[in-house]
Formats: sequence, C-alpha cells, structure tokens
Amino acid sequence: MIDDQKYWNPFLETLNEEKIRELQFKKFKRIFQWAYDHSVFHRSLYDAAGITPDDIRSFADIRLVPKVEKSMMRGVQRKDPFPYGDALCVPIEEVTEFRQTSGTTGQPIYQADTWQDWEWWSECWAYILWAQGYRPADRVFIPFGYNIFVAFWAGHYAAEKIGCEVVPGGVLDTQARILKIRELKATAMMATPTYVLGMAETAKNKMNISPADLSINKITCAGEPGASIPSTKKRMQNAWGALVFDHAGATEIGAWSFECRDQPGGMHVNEAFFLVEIEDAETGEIIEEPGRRGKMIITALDRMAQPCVRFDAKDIIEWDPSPCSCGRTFRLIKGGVIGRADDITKVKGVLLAPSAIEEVVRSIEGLCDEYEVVVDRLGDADRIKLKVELMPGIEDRVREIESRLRDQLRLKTNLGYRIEFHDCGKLPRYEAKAKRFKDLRKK
Amino acid sequence: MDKQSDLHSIDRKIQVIKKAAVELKLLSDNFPAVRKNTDRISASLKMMEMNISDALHLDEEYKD
Repeated sequence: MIDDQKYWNPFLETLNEEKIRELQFKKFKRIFQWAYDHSVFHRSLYDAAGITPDDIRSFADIRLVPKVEKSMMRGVQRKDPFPYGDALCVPIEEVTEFRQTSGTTGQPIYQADTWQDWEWWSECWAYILWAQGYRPADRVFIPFGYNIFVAFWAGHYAAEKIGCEVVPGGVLDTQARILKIRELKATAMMATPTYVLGMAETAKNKMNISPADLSINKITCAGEPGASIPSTKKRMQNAWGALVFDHAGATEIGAWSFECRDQPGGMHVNEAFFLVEIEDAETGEIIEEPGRRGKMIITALDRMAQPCVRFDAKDIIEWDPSPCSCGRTFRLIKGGVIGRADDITKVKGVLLAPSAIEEVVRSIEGLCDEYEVVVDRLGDADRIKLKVELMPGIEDRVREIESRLRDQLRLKTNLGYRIEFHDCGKLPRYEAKAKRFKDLRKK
Repeated sequence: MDKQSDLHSIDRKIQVIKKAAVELKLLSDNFPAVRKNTDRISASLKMMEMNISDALHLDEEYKD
C-alpha cells in the first residue's frame, strides 16, 4: 500500500552520500549557469568576482562563487521588470506567484515564482509532511491568514498533493478555529510555535477545552524557532497531546529542512533539492565536520524565477555526526536552527542566543509560555531584564521559582538578569511570529 | 524487475509524457485551455525529473 511507504521518495531519500554529492554538484552547475545567463543581478556579481560557470570544475570550486546577502537583493528590486528588478530570470509574464519576506530585518524582499517554482515549493513540502506522517486519511487544519507571506501556503498545496483533506482556517478567529477543529475532528495542523501555544491557552482559559482532548495528533511548526527547543516542544506536545515537528524554510530560499517522525533532535536537510554549506563566522572557511557551528550558506538547486545561489541565510547550524534512525541519508542539522547570526548579541560582554532563554523559561513548571527580554544600557553598563508570567495559584512558590530561574539562566547564558513576574495573560500575545527580544541599545 | 530497472522504466515514461506535452503545446497556439493545462503538466513533469531523472543520469550533461 502506497500509504505505508516510509519515504515520499524512496530513491532520493536513501541515496548514498557519494551520489548525493554528485547530484548536488551537477545541479549547482546547472543553477549557476542559469543565474549567470538570465539574472542581471547575479551576472554583475559574478563578473565583478571574475568567475564564470566554466570555473566550477569540482565541488570545492563552489566556494569561489560569491555569496548573496539579503541587503544586496533590496538594492536591485522595486524597478523594472517591476517589482522584482534585476533578480528576475524569467519574463514577467511567467511569474504566477508574488510573495514577500516579513520585513523583520529590514525592507521586505519581493519573491517571484513561476508555476513550476510553485510546484517545487509544494514538492519540497511533500517531503516534509510525508516524513512527519501525514497521509491521505488526515484532515489538515491550517490556521493562518493566507496572505502575502509564504508561510503555510506550500504546506496547504503539499497536503493536497499527498491526498489529505485540507481545511483552510484563515479569517476565523482563534476561538472559531478551535471550534472548527473540534467540529471536523481535524487530525493535523500547521502553525508557528507561538500560535500553537496561544491556541492552547485560549482553548483552556477562555473556552474550557483541553486541546489534548481534540483530535489533532500531529502539528508542523515553522516560521520561528521553538519546535526544536526541547522545553517548547514538550509544552506544545503536552498541551495538544500531539507530536510536534519542526521545519525551517524561508521565502527567499524554500522549504529546505524538516524534522522526521523519529524526532532525532535535529532536522534533515533535503539534500537532493538544496545545497547547504556551513561557514565559520570568524574565518570564512567551510565547515565539513560535524559538531562545529557556523553560518548557513544555501543554494536552492531548482528554483528558477528568482534563484537562490549561495545565499547567506545567517542561520546558525551544525551537522550532526549520527545517522538518523529513520534511514534517510539526508544529513541532520543538530538541534535544528540554533539561532540567527543577527539575533546573537553581546550583553555585558557575553554572547547571548535568545533561544537559550526560551529553553530555560519553558523548562520551569509554574511559568506560563510567554516571556519578554529587554536589553538596555544604564551609563556604560548593559542591563538585561526578563519578564515572565506566573501561573495562577502558585504565588507562594514565587521565591522558589525565581531561584531556579536565576540558577538556570546563569548556567545556560552566563548572565545575571533582573526578573519581573507578571500575572498570566499580561505580556503581549502574538498570532504568528513573536517579538520577545527587545534590544533598546540599538536605538 | 529490480529497483534500478523500475527507476529506468519510470524515467522512460516520464520522457514519453514530456515529449507528448511538448507536442501538445505546439498544437495549442489558439486554444488557451489546452495551452495552459499543458504548461501545468510540464511543471509536474519537471517535478518527476527532479525526483527521478536528475539522480538517475548523473553522468549526463543537463538537457532541458
């Protein structure tokens, strides 16, 4: 029975490493030639570097190709062919999809896709969903706004491609979505971790519904870190009585990674469709061996309208040395996306990754899911304040919780914090991506 | 049939359908319903090539 098949693509997902590298090299040469021939932006970049497709004769030569940063893309758009400008590789008439980035790091990037690229998006997501156990018997509820951000659009189409029944949950408010999930007995859901926890909170506190009593048995998270942070994953899984899986993708890259059903503590890179390189942030050398963290440089090997060739994603990752029990030969990145290079900041001279704070807060029983971090400066000295919410009814334990929080934060982040306790529900709530880390020193 | 033979059989069928799609497109100059649906078939065939053909023919130069 086809539904019993473990892999969406039993050929590629178990291809040996040597063949994967050969495939990646062949496809890299192809997409590099395509960008060189068809993109004014890429061509000028490569001409300035003095590199042509003929220079790529081995896998190691790939590193000679200049990287692309988001800021470079901003400078070549908003002109003809409008609005994609010099990055567009196809006639504008062939573009069928417009999306844009969220703009959290600056002016949004416009992303063009042809129909073939859009099929590619849903194909990449089909690998993800199949690996996470989605099958035609699933009724998939997708509670997102169906707007100009790519978000879960391709998840919707991939679920259809697999043969699931898809319930588009846009426009409905949170309570209406929960009622619809209950009414239709939806078995799967896709959302950001913030919204997964937010829906659970609304269900419990405003509707007297335990999400664990609903029919959802699997949740795919994307859009922000969380599903690879163990304490956040545990909270989501406990709240919903469901398995929660992570996925990392980006508008300008594609759906490049996924956690499989075996939940190996990391995510597979779809190495048949993407080439991931890890660059040492200090030296610029490419890191081959597992266990060393670096910045991800990624190429989408088949994306045509607006190619992604050696894009500096600024995600911090490391290879996992262990093979996955699922049998896929696609390598794992350990712990998923550990952080973003532009989120990691120095506070009081110490490097701080915001995800480390999340792991501590959500590991402590008695604290609600939401928190906020504020970094500012008093004179020449950095200060860091953590705002947390105490669950109702345990006010007598606040000293014990505070002590545990301080100890764990010191251990995991090497910093001392001013801690503020708030009642549950007082801190901001977010429907999609949360903005919990506020660095006021930048202003 | 062994797995590798299965893959080559699948690949050959993909190429047959691809050739038919190219021929259909040439016949559809004045028929939007055929032209646009053929474009969709071609996009799906490209997915098949990504899933099978690209890795099966590693030693061949890329042909569109």
